[in-house]
Amino acid sequence: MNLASPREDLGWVLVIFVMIGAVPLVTGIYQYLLVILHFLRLHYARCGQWLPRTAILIPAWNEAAVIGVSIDRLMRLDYPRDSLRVFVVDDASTDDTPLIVRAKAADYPGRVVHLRREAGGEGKAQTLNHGLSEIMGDDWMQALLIMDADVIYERGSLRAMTRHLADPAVGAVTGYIQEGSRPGNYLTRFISYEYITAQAAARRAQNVIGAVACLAGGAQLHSRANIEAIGGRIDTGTLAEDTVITFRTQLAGRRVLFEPHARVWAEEPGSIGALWKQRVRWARGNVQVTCRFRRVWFRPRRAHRLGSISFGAIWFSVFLLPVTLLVSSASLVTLYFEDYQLSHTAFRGLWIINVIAYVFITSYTLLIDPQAGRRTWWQGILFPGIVSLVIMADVVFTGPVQWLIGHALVALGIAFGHPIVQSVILFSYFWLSVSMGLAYLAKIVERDSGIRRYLSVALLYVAGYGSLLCAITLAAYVKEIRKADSKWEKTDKVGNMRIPA
Amino acid sequence: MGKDRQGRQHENSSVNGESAVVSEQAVLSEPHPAVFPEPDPAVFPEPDPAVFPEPDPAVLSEREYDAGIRNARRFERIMAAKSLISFALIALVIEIYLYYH
Repeated sequence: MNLASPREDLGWVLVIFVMIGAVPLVTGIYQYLLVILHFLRLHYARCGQWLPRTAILIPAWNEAAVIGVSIDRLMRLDYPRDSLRVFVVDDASTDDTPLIVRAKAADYPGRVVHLRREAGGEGKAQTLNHGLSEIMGDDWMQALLIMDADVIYERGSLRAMTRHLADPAVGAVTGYIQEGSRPGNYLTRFISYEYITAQAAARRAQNVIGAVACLAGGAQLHSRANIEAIGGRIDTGTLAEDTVITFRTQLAGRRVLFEPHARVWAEEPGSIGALWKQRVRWARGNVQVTCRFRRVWFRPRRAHRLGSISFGAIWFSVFLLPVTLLVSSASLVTLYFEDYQLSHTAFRGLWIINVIAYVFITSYTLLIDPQAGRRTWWQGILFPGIVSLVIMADVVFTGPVQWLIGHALVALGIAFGHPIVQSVILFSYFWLSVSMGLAYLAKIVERDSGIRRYLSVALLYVAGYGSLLCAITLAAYVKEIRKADSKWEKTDKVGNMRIPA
Repeated sequence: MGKDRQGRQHENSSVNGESAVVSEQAVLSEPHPAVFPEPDPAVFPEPDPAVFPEPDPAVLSEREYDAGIRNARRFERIMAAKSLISFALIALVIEIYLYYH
C-alpha cells in the first residue's frame, strides 16, 4: 500500500486552495453558456400590449443639471400621455431642483408632480417612500417605474418593459442600463464594458435561471400588486434597497424579468475616487443582503429560484471573488516553498483556465452588444490588466514570452540569473493579491490633472479594472466588519450624456 | 417634523409647492440670482428634436407591437448563434494549440 506522506498531503491540499481561484472563472464561463440558452427562455409569448397607468417615481437631491431634461424626455416617451405621471421627490435640494420641477409641473399640468421633503439627507429609500405614500394614496397607479434623475430612456423602453406586466405572474421588470457619459474617458469606457458583462450577459443568464439578482436602481418597473404585496414601502434597513426589493418580490412568489431591449442610459463616474465611493456603497449593500437573506442561499424552493444552486454559485462567485484570489495567491506562494514543481503545475493549471475564461468571455461580450463593444474593445482586452495578460501570454506561449522578458531585463541592465527568475516567479504567484493593492494605489494617487492623474491611469491599466472591483469589494467587507457609518452618499452627476445615434 | 442637513426643524411635506410649508419654502419661492443662477445651456441642453421627436401615435399600433416582439426574438436567436460560433472557434483554437504542444 502506497501511503502519501503528510508533506505530500499538504501539497495537494494547497493545490485545492490554489484552484479555488478558478471557481469564479468557471462560474463565469457557466454564466455565459447560459446566455446562449436565453433565446429558449424568452417571456414574449406571455406578453401583451398592455399600457398600464404608470407612475414614474424620481428621487432627486440637487439634480438641477439633469432633472428638467429628464422630465422633458419622459414626456416624449412612446406611451399614452394620459397614462403617464411623473412624481419627483425633491429631497430638500438646495439648488435649482425645486424651481425647475415646479416649472415643469406648470408646463405639463397634471402629468408632473413636485413632492418636497423639507428634511432630507436620510437616504434614497426614505425619499422613495415619501413618493410612494403619495402615489399609493389613490388607485390611479397600475404600474410604478422607479428611476434615477439622470437616466435617459430610449423612446420605446417603457413600453418594452410594461408588456411583461400583462402576465400577472410577473412582479417587476428591469431594463438594460448602459453607460452614456459623453465624451467620457478611459474609466467610463471600462464601466461601459463592465455593464455589457454585468447587465446584458449576466442578467440574461439570470433570466434563464429564473432568478434575478437586482432590479437596476435606475430602471425598475413594478406592478401595483407587487408593491402592495411587499408592504407598499421600500426597505430602509440596507444600502441596497433595489436588491432587497428584488429579493422580496421573488420570495413573495412573483417573477422578476430582465428586458434586454429596454435600453436606459446612465451617466457614470469619471474618476476612480467617485467610482470607489459608489461601488463601496453597492458592495456594502450586497454584504448586508447576503447576511439578511442567509436562509435563502442554496435551499431550492418551488416558489422561487433564489435558492437554486446555479443562482447561489453565481452570487457567491462574485461576492467572494477577493477572498478566492487571496486564498489562491497565498496557497501558491506557500506551495512554492513546499513543493516547487507542484506549485508550477498548479500555477499553470489556474492560468490556463484564466486564459480560456478570458478569451471566451471577452469575445462573447463584444458580440453581445457590438455598439458598445466598438467603443470599449480596448478596455475589454485590457480588463484583467497588463500584468495578468503577460502571465496569460506566458502560459500559452511560454518560450517566446520568456525570451522577450529575458531580453527586456537585459536591456534594463538587470542580470538575468537564477535569483531574478525566482523573483519573477514569486511575483507572478503573488500577483492576484498584489493587483488589488495596486488598484487601490491607483485610487490613492489619483488627482484631477497633472502627473498623478497619468500615474493613476497607468496603475489601473497595469493592475486591471477587474482588480479595482475586487479591491472595492474588499474595502466593503472591511467597512461592514468595522460597522462603519452607513450614510447614503449620492454619486455626483452633471448631465454630460448622449444616446448614441 | 424632521431635521434638515443643517439640523433645523421643518414640516416635511408639500405637493407642487402648494401646501403650506413655511420657512425654506418661502426662500425657495423667490430665488436669489446669486444662489440660484440660470442653468448653463452647455450643461443643461434642450433635448434634440431629432433624437426625441414628438410621439407618433402610429407607433402604438398592433403591427408595430408584433414587429417589436419579432425583432427581439430574432436578435436573441442571432446572439445565440454568434455565441455558439465564438465558443466553437475557441474550442478549435485550443484543440490546435494542444495538438502542436
